[in-house]
Amino acid sequence: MARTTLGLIAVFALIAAACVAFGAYFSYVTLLNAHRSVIEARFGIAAERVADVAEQAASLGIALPAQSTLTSLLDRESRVEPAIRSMDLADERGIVLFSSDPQRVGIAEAQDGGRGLTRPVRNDLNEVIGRVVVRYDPQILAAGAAALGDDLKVIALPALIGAGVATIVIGLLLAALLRRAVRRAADPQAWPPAARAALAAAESVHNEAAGASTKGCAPSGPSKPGPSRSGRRA
Amino acid sequence: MDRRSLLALGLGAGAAGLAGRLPGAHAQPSANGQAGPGAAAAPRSEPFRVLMLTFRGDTDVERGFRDYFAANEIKVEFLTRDVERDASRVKPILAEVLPTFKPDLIYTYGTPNTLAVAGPYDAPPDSPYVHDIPVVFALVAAPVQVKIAPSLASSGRNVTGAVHVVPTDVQMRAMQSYKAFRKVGVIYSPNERNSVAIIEEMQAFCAGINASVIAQPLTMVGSRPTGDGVEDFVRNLKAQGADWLYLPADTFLATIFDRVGPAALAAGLPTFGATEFFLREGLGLVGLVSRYYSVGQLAASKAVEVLVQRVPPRDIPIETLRRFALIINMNIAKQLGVYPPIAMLNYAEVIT
Amino acid sequence: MIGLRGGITVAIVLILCSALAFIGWGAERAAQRTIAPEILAKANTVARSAADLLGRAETVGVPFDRLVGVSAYFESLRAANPEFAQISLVSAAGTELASAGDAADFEGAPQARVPVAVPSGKRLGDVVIVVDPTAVTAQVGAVLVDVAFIGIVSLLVALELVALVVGSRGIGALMAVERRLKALGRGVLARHEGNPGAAGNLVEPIDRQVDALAERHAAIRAAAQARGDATALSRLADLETRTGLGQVQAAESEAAIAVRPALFLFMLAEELTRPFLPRFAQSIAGSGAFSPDFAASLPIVAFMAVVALCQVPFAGISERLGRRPGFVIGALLAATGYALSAVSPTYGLFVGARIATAVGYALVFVSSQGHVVDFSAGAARSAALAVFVRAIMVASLCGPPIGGVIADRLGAPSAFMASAGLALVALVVALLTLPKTVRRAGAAAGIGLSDLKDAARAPGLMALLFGCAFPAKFLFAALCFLLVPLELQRLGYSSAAIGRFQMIYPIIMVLAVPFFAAMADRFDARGGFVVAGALVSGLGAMAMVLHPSIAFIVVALVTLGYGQAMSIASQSALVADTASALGGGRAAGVLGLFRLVERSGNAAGPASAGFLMATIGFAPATALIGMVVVAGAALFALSGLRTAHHPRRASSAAASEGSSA
Repeated sequence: MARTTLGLIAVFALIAAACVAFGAYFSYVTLLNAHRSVIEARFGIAAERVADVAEQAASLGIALPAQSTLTSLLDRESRVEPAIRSMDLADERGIVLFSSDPQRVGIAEAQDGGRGLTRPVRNDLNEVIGRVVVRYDPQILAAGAAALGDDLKVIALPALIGAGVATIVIGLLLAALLRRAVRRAADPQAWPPAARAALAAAESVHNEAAGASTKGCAPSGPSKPGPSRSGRRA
Repeated sequence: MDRRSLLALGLGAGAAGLAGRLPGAHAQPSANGQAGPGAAAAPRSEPFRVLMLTFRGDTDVERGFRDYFAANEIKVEFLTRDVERDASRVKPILAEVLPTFKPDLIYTYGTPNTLAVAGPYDAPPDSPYVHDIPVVFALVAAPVQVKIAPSLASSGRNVTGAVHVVPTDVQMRAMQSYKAFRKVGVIYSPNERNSVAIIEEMQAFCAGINASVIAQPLTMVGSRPTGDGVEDFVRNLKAQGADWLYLPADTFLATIFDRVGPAALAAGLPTFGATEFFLREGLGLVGLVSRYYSVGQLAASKAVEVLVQRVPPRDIPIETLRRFALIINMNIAKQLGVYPPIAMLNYAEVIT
Repeated sequence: MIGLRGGITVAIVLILCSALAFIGWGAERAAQRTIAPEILAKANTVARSAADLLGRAETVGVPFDRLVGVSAYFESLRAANPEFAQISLVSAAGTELASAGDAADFEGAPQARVPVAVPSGKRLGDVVIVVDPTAVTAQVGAVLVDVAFIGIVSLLVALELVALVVGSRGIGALMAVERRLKALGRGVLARHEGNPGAAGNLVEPIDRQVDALAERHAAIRAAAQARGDATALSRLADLETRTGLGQVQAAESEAAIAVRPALFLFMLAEELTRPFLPRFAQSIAGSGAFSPDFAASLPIVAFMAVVALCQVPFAGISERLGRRPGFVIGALLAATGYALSAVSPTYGLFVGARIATAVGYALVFVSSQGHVVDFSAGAARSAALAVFVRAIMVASLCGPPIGGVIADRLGAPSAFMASAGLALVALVVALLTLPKTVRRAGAAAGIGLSDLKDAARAPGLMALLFGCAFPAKFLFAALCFLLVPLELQRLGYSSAAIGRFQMIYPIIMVLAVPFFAAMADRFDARGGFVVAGALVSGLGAMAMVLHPSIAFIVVALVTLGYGQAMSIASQSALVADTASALGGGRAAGVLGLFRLVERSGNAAGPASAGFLMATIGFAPATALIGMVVVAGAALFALSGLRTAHHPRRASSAAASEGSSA
């Protein structure tokens, strides 16, 4: 019995700790996403401006591959934000046509594995003819992630331990209460009032029905019947 | 803010956006051009043959048309014949070219060429027009009014194409965002059905924003309009309190832009034009126009549907562009002292 | 006395709430530290962009002092970036030329200042953006709402886990003790049935007391009977009624809700896939023959269609197989489907895997529901079905955020594998918790069309199905899946915000379903609750025409939640009663028909709403669908009045007699 109780308390402590850990981790992910969306909103503004220029040129009949002045624009926009590593203009197949980083021209932007921020470039037929891709320094995200992680770790560990310990303490308390209740239940004198009243009523009826009174058990007036649950079989 | 918000000015962005988001709604030919062509039909080794009938030599429209095939890597052999602004030359050209060149598709520039090749839709079946070769037109302003097609949804025959007019309400909204107005003046030829229809659309729009239209028909001599007194008309409109002078895509009016523009400038009346020509040559202040290059591309996208995806032209709706170009003549703006709102500079092409 | 189980639940809730609140506080500080500087950086970028445009205006010939629409432009920038309190243009001399917003209250707030310059390098003035510190707080607050939501999710998961542990046989001993203590607390002196097992030494002293009392009672009763003492007998009988003396209290039957943990885990497996499924389907389809929209929706539509279609045939199959084997086979099939989805190289195979999952899902669903109905009756049935519904709702609340994060961090295939793993865990839990199958006598072989027809003739059933069940799901799916997301998107809300609005419904359901189910049982007024629920949700939707706004969207979602919570468990219970009354294969037919109709509502809702929204607009479409629900409820109420006299009473009575108590 004691083993069951202790095992149960341990399981509950684990559940509590696991849920706190889960909550902390998900909070961390949520904050991380919020952080990234603010950063990307910022870089999105630059990408948007390049896409606008490319769209205007396209509508004048300058095909994307011919918009060679874009290189200097990409260069200018990418230098404005120190965290931007490169800004590319890729065609609709993802091949980089122009880039602030000359090394990237001609490669397939999707294949370099870097997660970038993209804005579509559309023509007057509303077809997507290319994409502006902003690649930014992952360090800026990583730094934010590290800071957030540190902050949350400081909070989460005590919370985790606290929840576990509190569960164990309350568990032991509940167990002690249960044990006490069991002890008392073994002795009719210590029964809860409702049970004692029922017992008294039973004894009084029994004594009466048996027509013999051996024990001096005073009938405690019109005993209040406990809330009856016996209707089921009635 | 940008070109996208200009798009949102018109075309009922709500409905279009919703339709785009719902599964099953695929109004646009294909999202990125690459999936469309070449995806459906078997690869074809020999090039398609396209006969191009131009009206006034090669323009940006033809350039856009050809570039679209090149960009999508579709092999096409083009044969271009120019009618030198005389649609009656179409017949002899067809008689000469069709037996030898055997085109898969005929491209026509403008209303006269298109009518000369395909005829009106209600012509008798035995009339001497092209019936068996698909016709794709570009730069026809009002295909329904000139009977190229009974409706924009379908020509009901072997014809489809690209319209270059900007919807009237989109133009009105662009005008409104440049400078809000209560009264807008408009000069038009009363004999041109297309212009009359535009006036009605303007009135409908203005009723919605609590503004009014002052419509001034040109003087008629018999059944033909003349430019008599057009300078007075402009001054009168200004005197009646017009905030803008709108110049519709009116065939006759286009011939007297060089008189209307200066008169408006002298009267201090800002002008909004429906054609690029007016902005560049007629001293207009601002205009919302379809890029000819893009119109050519739109026509080409229809041609690709016909040639590559084998969609019958009758099943391809006649459409206008989804985006337009806003052109501002800054010299005129300076002279009038009517400068564009700063946000417009984000998407306008500025002539200086 | 709240009892051991209640004590554990309260304790866990208190502990977790405090711990999670503490984490929320930490998250708030962390967000302030990292997000606030980023917002200032963004202000700098926006200011630079605006300064560029103003410089360009000067370049193309608009005099700096004649700029038009600058305030309006700034206003539009503020609309796009609500965290900016004020954007202004200040001339080189220091006078303010144009401005949007008001930063008077934010003395010393962080600000970005970027000069407006022309190519020659001449400085014309400055663009100044003042960041609104309260908006930064608000943005952090929005993040905190997400964190709080995560807190709710982890709390719910914790409670399900607690329920799993408490329901397991391992602590049967504790429960035996608990049962005896509870009985004494209520003054019940009945004997307790069942082997106390490990708790024997704890229970024995209590049982000895009670047993002795019972023996004495029996002896006295026998004596009175022998004497023919009618007064004594009647007093003894009275005593029995009051104290339960001389009776044997059956181990409290929890069989009906034993399926809850297994069902929860299984449903969680499917809900995990929701956030990433469409995009994953698109990526597998690649640039193939399908359009992206179609590629995304085909697996979902196929899944829903298969689940809907399987409801009827599976009702009979699960009855024949037995509930436990039905659950196990279904879970195995679904787990295989998830695993296949994770590794399938082609789109066709992926859709096939989803269909396999759907078949398994339907079998698990039907078996679980059958289990609940088999082991409950009469008044307890609504409550048991409410537990069933609750498990599903909690899973639908907790699954998507968890699945989204797994897919985000480890990739969609891993998330599918997690689903497969969860389905297998559910399988094991089902093996442990569900009773070995009692093949039910007279379980008819599969159900055919004729069973459906018979079922359809059951009194009042069609009115319930088409008056209430179908419209309820129709409204729910139309509102939650399509109308509200699209309208909120149109109003400019982010998808995270839309997600939060969408959570209103399941949260209310989770909290309110057990309450209303208990109420319906207590007042024995299930029909009334069904009608009232439909009216509440229908009228809430109809209110949209008064003033289409965010407030009324919230009203519609809240009334939808309460309305459905009022009616859903009662609906199931009414249907189950009708089913029991019919008996045999026709019972399965009734249940199958019910789920078929319900799920058709689910499918028809978004489709019709899409059409209505495009033709008549958001508010009228919502109101119209609300009207359909109200009309359906009226229809059901009228038909109920007509048939109320005999058949429904009879069916209820039959149901309670027909099954074990």
